[in-house]
Amino acid sequence: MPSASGLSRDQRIRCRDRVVQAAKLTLANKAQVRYTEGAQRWDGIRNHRDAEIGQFPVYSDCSSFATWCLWNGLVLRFGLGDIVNGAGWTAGYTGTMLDHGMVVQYASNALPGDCVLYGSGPPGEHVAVIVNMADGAPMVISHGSEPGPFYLPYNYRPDVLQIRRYI
Amino acid sequence: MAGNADSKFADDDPEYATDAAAEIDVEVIGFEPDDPKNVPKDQGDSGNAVRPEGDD
Repeated sequence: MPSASGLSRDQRIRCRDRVVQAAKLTLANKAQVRYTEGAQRWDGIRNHRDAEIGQFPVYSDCSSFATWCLWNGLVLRFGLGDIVNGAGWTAGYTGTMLDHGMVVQYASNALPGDCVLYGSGPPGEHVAVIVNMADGAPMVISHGSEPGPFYLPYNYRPDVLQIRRYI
Repeated sequence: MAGNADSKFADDDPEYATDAAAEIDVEVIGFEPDDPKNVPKDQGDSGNAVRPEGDD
């Protein structure tokens, strides 16, 4: 089966490392991170914030944060096009994220770098990035409100819609 | 978890389902989990209405 990204297995491993690194860096700097649904939410990509050199987006919302994390691996490491939102890495939201990537059917099969989408149905209401597994269940970093991001069990809210893989 | 219309799942292929599990340190992140009871309600996603590029 081809991967969602077209990357080889070794490339996917390196890509996931970069995505998780980006999410963890932002969590570690949460005091400097703001939540916004305004145009500034794309600052992470627009201003080429590279987690590998300690840069993170100051302004973001849930989907722009998740997209920026994936952009760190898919673009900065491998130069791929926008396979997350299909918008040239300039826009997107949970609805476009639901239209891209592949569904992970079982939470126990999720991998770091996969995303959890929440809501009662398309276009979704929230998204978070899986960063590790704990006792066989995904843990996410979620940026859904001003004090965020937070590090939480993937089912911290009851409306898990899908787990999707873009890598 | 809600279903979907996709005919292929990322975890249909055993290798793709777990390809990084052995290499990525999946148990250690270095942060203590937050208590979901203390997390404010997520504010939603700004794109729930489709917006043109540059107005996102």
